[in-house]
Amino acid sequence: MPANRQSHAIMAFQLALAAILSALALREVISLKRSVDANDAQRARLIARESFEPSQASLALPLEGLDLKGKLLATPASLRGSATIVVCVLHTASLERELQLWEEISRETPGTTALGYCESLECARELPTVSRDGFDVIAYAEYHTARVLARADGAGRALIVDGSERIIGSVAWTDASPPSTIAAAIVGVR
Amino acid sequence: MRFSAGSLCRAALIAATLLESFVLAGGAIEGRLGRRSSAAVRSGQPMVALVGYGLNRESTPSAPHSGCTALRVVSKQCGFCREEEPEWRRLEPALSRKGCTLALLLPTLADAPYYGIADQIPEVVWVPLDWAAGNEVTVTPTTILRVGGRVIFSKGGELAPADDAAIRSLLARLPDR
Repeated sequence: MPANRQSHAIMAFQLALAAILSALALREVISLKRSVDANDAQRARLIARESFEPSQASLALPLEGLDLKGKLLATPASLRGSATIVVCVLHTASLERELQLWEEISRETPGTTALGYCESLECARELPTVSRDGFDVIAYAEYHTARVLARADGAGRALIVDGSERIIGSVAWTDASPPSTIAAAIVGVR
Repeated sequence: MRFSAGSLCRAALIAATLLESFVLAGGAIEGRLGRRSSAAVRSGQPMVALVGYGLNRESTPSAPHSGCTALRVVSKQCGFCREEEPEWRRLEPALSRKGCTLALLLPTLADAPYYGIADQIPEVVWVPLDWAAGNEVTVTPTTILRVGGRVIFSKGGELAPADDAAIRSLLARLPDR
């Protein structure tokens, strides 16, 4: 084969290889982008699913849960009459103060049902030793509900839920908050 | 400066090779990150025992995490969960030989019962808040193998043959019941 023809063949081969590699790279870039988008979308769906922000929380939050002995509390039937439900997470270290606070808030906001969830089983075990008139306290929640509540608790907020168990807002609180301030914030959300 | 046709062809080939290498490396990195994000509970992390209730609330709360537990997080709506059922039937003898309990965690009440209430496999629906807060599960199915208070295997997504092999290899290291 003459040298000129040989060099043309090599160049053609190199160009063909470059074209094949470029096409493969392009195909992989498209597939990579799809994969990145799918991962981002999955993460976004998860964040929305566990969000307590009314604008993002698209699903109803099943509030039904159990006490330590397995008794069902906050069933949809028992909540049907409530226009608004305030959902808070109670903490072992300040349980008595928090129970008193929410009992007082319940009295100050007629038409609102307060519902507590213990942060742990240790908190739930302490419940019988303290008075808790006015609202139920749940020890075991559905996994998804527990995740949402834990997020809200991490942000120092109690959730305001409507009768269809949809989150309509949240209020900031601590065990040192004046009950009247929280009650006013709840009325503001309603 | 003038380039010969030959050097341009070589440059094109080198550029295409480099491009392909970068894309392949990017794919590998993204694949690793993607897999990591789908299994939020990680191998090696401590995990407290799951104590929870299933549909049969009259019994005491089931505490499936006694010693070695294979915890599957599954949902009725998840097709991949059903698809990996044969895999679990094959794994069952190996789990039982090592005294490992198979238990299910159902993310919502709507997912229960998964197998049926009469089934012997514990199905947990209601969990303590602190357990849920400390153990993030992002997808169903998720498989968590917990031994001695620590996660030794975690996979978010359908079990692949490699996962099956990894579980069997981990189980092989455990003493027989």
